[in-house]
Amino acid sequence: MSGAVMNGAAENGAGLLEVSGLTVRLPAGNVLRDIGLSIGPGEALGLVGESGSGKSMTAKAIARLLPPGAVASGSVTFDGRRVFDLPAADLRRYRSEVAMIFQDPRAHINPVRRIGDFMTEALRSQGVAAREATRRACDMLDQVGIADAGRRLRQYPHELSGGMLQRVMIGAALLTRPRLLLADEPTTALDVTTQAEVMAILDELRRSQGLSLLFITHDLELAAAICDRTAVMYAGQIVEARSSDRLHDDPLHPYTAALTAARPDIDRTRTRLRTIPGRPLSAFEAPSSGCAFAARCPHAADACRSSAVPLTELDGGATRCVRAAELRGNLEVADA
Amino acid sequence: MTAVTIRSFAAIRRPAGGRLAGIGAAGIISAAVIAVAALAAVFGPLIAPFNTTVPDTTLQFVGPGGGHLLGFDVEGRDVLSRLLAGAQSSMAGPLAVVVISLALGIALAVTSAWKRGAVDAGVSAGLDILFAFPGILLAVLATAVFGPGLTAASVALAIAYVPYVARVLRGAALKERSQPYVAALEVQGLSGPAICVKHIVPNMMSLVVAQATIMFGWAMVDLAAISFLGLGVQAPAPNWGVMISENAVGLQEGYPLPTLAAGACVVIVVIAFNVLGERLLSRAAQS
Repeated sequence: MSGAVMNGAAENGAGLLEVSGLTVRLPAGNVLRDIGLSIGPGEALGLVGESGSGKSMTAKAIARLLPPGAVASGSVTFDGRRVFDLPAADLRRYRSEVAMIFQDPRAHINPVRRIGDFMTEALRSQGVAAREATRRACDMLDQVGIADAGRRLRQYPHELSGGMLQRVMIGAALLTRPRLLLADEPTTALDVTTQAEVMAILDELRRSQGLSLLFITHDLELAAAICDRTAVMYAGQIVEARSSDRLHDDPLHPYTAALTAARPDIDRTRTRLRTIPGRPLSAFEAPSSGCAFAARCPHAADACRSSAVPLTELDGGATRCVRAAELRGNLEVADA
Repeated sequence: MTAVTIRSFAAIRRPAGGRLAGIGAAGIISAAVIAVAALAAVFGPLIAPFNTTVPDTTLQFVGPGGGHLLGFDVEGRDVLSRLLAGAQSSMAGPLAVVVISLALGIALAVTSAWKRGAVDAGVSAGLDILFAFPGILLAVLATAVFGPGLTAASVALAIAYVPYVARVLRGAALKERSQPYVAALEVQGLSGPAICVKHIVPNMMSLVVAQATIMFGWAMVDLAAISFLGLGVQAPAPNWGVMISENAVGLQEGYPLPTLAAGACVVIVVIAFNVLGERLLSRAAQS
């Protein structure tokens, strides 16, 4: 099977967003291979992985924002509609139901337009009157914790700090009342204290609006704190998906285990940080057959290199490891 | 390091002086010259002190004197008055050329940058074909078909200029289209045309203005040449190109002032436009 990451909603076929067999090819090679995931209404799915593992590309494919020259196959379904087949008018409607937050708010807001213009633009294009759109933008700025909203709306992006600008972007994304939010490392460009504030606001608004969330990050702990389930990506594939609370303690894939073990522990002093041997593979460097992680995996066997590894279900999660069942419980977690 | 920091600050905060900042003394002088020419174009016919069209053969090529600062032309009309009145058609023609070619050029550039692929290739091929026709040739052809006059010549010239505009602006539009904020607007559900009109075109404006300024100079030279050939503005209506042509005979007869005065007007205004355009262009490239 092409491996939709299982959850209750997906089994009933009621997931708001269903991605299956998604493969994206760039001129350089495949960047996504056989991605399957499912997000139910009001559910949050974390997508973690190293840089270049294809997290952002997955979000872009879902939003149909692939770079020129990219060829996508497989299917993305949102509320029963096949996203790749939507004609232009329906695509615009789809995009008003799916909002996206980007890593670098400064690059993703037109620098020569005022904050107010940015926040009200989507509403205005949906036919909301200017005065009403401004009023809603004001309310939204209050909700994302920006005081003095009237003045902020008249300011330009360069007059706001990065954290504030990211809140503006979150506010703008939520203004059109989307049903799914794609958050592509929304806090990576912010300093740590600002990160916490922004995440708290995002999480609270998401829950109060019953919004589904695809949360992309390379922070495993953050994903676990925010998301119901977490999917781990490696070299353009999802290698493991599991409920967030169990991912850390009972990983199914050696890569997840190694990632977890490589995290420094705040309670312990160590002279050397643990690393995963080798270097992360770009998706298009991954071997065409066999497990992409085999070269770095301490548990690799001949079976790992011989044929492509499917995503298989195991104890409520899913993993792309042929030895998952026998290794279970024996994978190195954090130092004992 | 310090230099880099200072420069990036300069890019964010325009120094005091508004629109004219950063174009240097030559740029400011050029702008002033253009302002004077523009004033003459608007008010010239009103402030011309003497009649500009009625000939008086007794005053043919009479030199300056008695309130006629530049003397009289080949038909005995006051040269200064004709220069002032002629500013209107001499400036309006290039203005029309610039406005038409910019409108077409921006539309083509943004469309091909947005659509990419086959549309882009098709537009580029079409522009390459158009490149093969010199502007003056097209304008002369147009006057042959539609009859001599400023309108036909200006429209034909404008079309001939479209590839120059579109070529430069396509690059800028492509760069702007690949900016992350455009992707963000797309995900917000905005339509392509809305993003182009509200965001991409306004953000290209500094380049557009610079390009327009330089093109104004070319268009003025080309239109003066066409009027010189007798295919543009028709005598006895005053126009700088017409004046160069009709008074050229004075060069051989020892009365060069009328034709040179008209020529000087063209040269000075064209140089001013070129200098200002180049200054604006380098300022646009910096930011």
